[in-house]
Parts: sequence; structure tokens; C-alpha cells
Amino acid sequence: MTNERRRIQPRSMNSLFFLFSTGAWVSAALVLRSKNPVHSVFYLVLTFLHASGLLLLQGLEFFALLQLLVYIGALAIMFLFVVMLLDIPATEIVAHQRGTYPVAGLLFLTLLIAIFGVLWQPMEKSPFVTPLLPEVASLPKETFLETSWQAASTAHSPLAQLGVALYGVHVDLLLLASLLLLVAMMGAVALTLKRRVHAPLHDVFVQHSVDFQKVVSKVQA
Amino acid sequence: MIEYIGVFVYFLVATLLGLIMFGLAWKVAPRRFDLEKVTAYECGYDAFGEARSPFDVGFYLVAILFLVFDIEVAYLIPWALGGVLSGWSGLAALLLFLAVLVIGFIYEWGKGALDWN
Repeated sequence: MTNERRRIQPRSMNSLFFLFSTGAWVSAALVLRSKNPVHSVFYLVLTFLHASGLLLLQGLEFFALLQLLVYIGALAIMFLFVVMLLDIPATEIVAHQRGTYPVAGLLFLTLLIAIFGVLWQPMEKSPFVTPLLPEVASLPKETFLETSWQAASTAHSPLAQLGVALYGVHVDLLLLASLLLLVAMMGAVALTLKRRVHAPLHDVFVQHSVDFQKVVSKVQA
Repeated sequence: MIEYIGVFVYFLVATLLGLIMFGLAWKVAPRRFDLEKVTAYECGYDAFGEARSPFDVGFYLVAILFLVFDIEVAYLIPWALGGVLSGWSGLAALLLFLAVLVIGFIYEWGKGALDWN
């Protein structure tokens, strides 16, 4: 960000940040509090909306819109599907019988690890630095990190820089992501596909091109 | 990010309008609670069970596949603006990314996951 943009940020940015962050944790608390699971999913959508606002305040417009599209448009819908598929009174009784402390303990451990990871950054330099940009591949690594990105940041939009970064330096992460999506697709099909009945498969085109006048014929007067 | 203040004002006005509509309707409508009005009607008997019908799991598969391909499109959007700048190696990266996902798509198509609709 240049100095001009940093100068004209008014005080409303602070109050907007307070508004969105307070709204986010209040909505999250309401997710936990509501007895109706559909209401919980609604409050989850509200949490995602507040998080999208926070991303917009950070200057990440692409990710704010992506949050709306992917998190609310796909993830919250999937949560809603799961809520619809479950038989809630029976699930609640079984949950009370089995006890919630093991699962809660595991999730609390995960939260502790996440907080620890936020406060202590284990690796400053990634071992996966792969400068694949052809015009800078011959340059030494220090000049690559100093000059090319500065030139790119003034000449192109942030989204174009993201494209250059994603398909250039961090291409290994992109291919890992594609493998992850492949696993997700195959897993979904393997888990939810019903056994297809051995019914005859009709070719629709052949069906449509049958001449209807020849279908019915008179056998006897 | 001050240039998006218009979007925020739009959201505020839309929320305010929605709240005014809900609030006025809630204030004006009569609310006389009666046990018969609130309970489910099943020809005079008490409710036999939950009012849900069995749910076809094919809908869930469609939702998951939509999510996966939506994320694929989200990875393709930065390419649309900055992909040409990343040269031939960037193109190779894109083709590898798409090839892996096309393999998954062929698997689904062959398995018949796209068929029943």
C-alpha cells in the first residue's frame, strides 16, 4: 500500500473493524446457543458475512467475495444438507448417551495447537521457494525478491499479482490443491453414490428419432 | 478500502428496510396463542412422528460437486488476470492443474455420478 492510501483512512475504519469483529463473535456465540440446528446454520451464515466484511477492510476484495461465494454459497448449504439429513431428536439422545467430553477435549486440543501456531511461527522461510518466472529465473534470488514484486505491484492489480504468485512461485501449492480437490471429488462419489439398478439404459437420441406413425400398426380388422 | 463505503451504505439501507418490514408486521399482527393452532394437524390425532420425508442423498452429492468445481473456478480467476504474465511455465502449471481435475471429472462421469438428474 502506498503512503497516500494509508493517509486517507478515516476513523470510521476503526469503528467498522469493531462492528464486524463484534458481530462475528456474537454470531458465533449465537451459533452455539440456539437449540434449533437450522437457526445455528443461519447464525453461521451471519458469522461468515462478518468475516467477509473484515476481509474487505483488510483490502482483500477478491477473498471477501470468494468468502461469500464459497463459504456461504457452498459450505453453509452443505451444513444445511447435513442438518436436514440427520434425525435430530435421536441424534441428540445418542450424543447425550455417548458423552461429549472426548470430542470436546479433542477440539479444545486443536484450538490450543492453533493458538500456539498463531503465536509462534515455526518457519520463516519456506523450503518450497521455486522461482519459475522465466524473466527472473536467471537472476540471483535476492534481486528476484526485491525488484520484481515491486514492479508488479505498481503496474498490475492485486488479483493479477495473485495470479503471478500462484502460477509462478507457489505453483507447488496449486498442484497440491488440485490433488486435494481430486481426492474430495472421488471421496464424495465413493461415499454417496447409490448402487445403480441394472435397468436398461435408453439412448435418448434414438428414442426421439423414432417415427411415431410406424409405432402403432393395425394387426387385424 | 474507503471506496467500498457505498457497498456498506447499501447493506445498511437494505438491512434497515428488512428490519422495518419485519418490525411493523410483528407490531401490527394479532397474537392470540391457542394450543390447537400451534400443534401439528394429523386428522385429529396426535402427531405420529417427525414431519420429514426421506431425503435423496443424490442432492448432497450435487452440492459437494458444486463446491469442488466452484473452488476450481476460484483458482482459475487469478489466472484470468495474471496468467499471461507468468509465461510458459505458468501455462504449464495451469494445464497440470486442469489435467488433474479433468481426471476427477472423467472418473465421476464414468461412475455415473452425473446421471440421475
